[in-house]
Amino acid sequence: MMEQLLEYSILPLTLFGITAIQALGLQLILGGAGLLSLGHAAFYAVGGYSAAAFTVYAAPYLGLSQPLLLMLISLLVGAGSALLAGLIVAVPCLRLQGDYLAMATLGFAEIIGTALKNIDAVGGTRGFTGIPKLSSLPWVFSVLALVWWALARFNRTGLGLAIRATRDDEIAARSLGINTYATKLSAFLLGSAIAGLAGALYVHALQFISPDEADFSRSVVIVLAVVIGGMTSLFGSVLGALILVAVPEVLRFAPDVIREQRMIYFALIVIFVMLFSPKGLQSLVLRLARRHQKNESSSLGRKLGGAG
Amino acid sequence: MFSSQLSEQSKILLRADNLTIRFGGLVAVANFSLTVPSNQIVGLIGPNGAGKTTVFNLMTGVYAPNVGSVFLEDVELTARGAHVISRAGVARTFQNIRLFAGMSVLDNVLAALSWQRRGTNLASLLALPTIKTREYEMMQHALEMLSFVGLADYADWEATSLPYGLQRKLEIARALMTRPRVLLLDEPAAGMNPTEKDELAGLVREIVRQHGLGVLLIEHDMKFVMNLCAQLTVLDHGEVIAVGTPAEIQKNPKVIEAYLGADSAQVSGADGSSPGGAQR
Repeated sequence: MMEQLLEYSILPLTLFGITAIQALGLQLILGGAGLLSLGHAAFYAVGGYSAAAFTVYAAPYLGLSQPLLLMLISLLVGAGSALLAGLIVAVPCLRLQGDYLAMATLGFAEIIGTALKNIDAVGGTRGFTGIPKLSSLPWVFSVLALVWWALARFNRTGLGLAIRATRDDEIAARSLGINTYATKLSAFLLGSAIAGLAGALYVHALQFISPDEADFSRSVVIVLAVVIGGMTSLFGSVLGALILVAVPEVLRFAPDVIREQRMIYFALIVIFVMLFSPKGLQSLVLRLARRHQKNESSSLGRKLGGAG
Repeated sequence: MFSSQLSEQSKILLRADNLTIRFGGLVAVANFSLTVPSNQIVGLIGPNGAGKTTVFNLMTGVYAPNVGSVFLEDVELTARGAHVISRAGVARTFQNIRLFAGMSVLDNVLAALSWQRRGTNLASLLALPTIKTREYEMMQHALEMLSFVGLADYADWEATSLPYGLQRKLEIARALMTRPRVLLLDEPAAGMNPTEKDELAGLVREIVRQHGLGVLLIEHDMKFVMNLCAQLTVLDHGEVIAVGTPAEIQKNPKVIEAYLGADSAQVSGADGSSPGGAQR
């Protein structure tokens, strides 16, 4: 029984880890730089397909077969290809203000989705199969931990500071010598590359990817994770990813009527979060934790007082 | 006078020649020329809507002029990007305070150093020991700047939670972090009480004394301007109507007319009272 449960939980946990990595990438773009990207899943799909194509087609040709080395290179391929795709979208679009970038990324995601459906070498509409199993739950969580740690460090670097300054006030940032265009571009590219990492992990864990992964609805899920968790915090994005993956898993046991409406629940959660905790669920969790700590220490104090 | 003593050892730093900008059919600023020498505080005054802030925006690259040029010594800055002009040595503050709202007081000041740290991003990402000293130096520099403007005790406050007067001082500290040669202050005393204004005047004098900067000041408080500035330029409807020392400007009938209307020119012109009286 226990064994079955463990085995069953591997897939949702893997998906949680991958969604969390995607969300961390989008957190940098949306929460860090204040740019709305509605095509985050497309960069993830570009990374996934490129990494898969590399291991399926290029690796045998190059004579690479050592799994660890192959996985490391495919992570680089995934991140690199997503970064390149990000460059193509961002260079013309970041000169535009706010909503235009959202529309451009949305259009880009549509193009990627349609293109993938029509490339037979990567399976077309049937999806890309026959990808070797190179990554697993430990891989996913290692990369998640590494990305989380690196982004926490990154926020304290000069570029991290410049990104937040640019988000808060672009005119003031420029008056301090910050090249705001280059700054926004770096945030967008870095966030896209992180999505590409998640893509490379996904294809080698599930040994399959379909064009649906580039779909708009997938991008919305990542935006929701970042917004529900709390845009300004890395912890919030991971928390948001947990909720977005956990809710459908839990609903699996609910009757069809309830399960099919899951996007409505997410909408309700978003409204709830915006009303009661605009900084996301992470601030709610932190507040509860603090209150709990205070209660515990005060009850401890009472006990000590009673003894004395 | 003290200020004329200073001007002997000063040289022209910032020079605006013939600046003109039109927004659609409206000529916001026409044929505007001005120089800011080192070691000196120059004032730019005029009624509301005269185009003073537009002049700042032209000089700092927020707008590109239709005609005219801006030079910092021999370097042409006309219509260069705002960040290029800042790096060249022209810093500014804003009339409607523009602090980074989500960031601490210390981070607001550190942001001015962020681009100078570009090359160090990877090292600081990996927390290499070499970078620790550099980061420590920057932090030290930022804290010194905060204590220079009197904000040392507020380093970890959220910037926008500061009282209004302190927010203005933080903007000055942030601008000074770029190590400017010329500092443009847009109504730095607005919303301050008389004590705060006196402190601010002392601070501006100290900035000029310590760093030999040229300061260009927009301000509505005439007492503040007359005390601080060696030279004044008066702007009305986008055009320069007078240039001179505070004493000359106070007697200038054109200036009095601009501030008080045509009829008042004869009445109050003689006693040389502050034209700023009309502001209230």
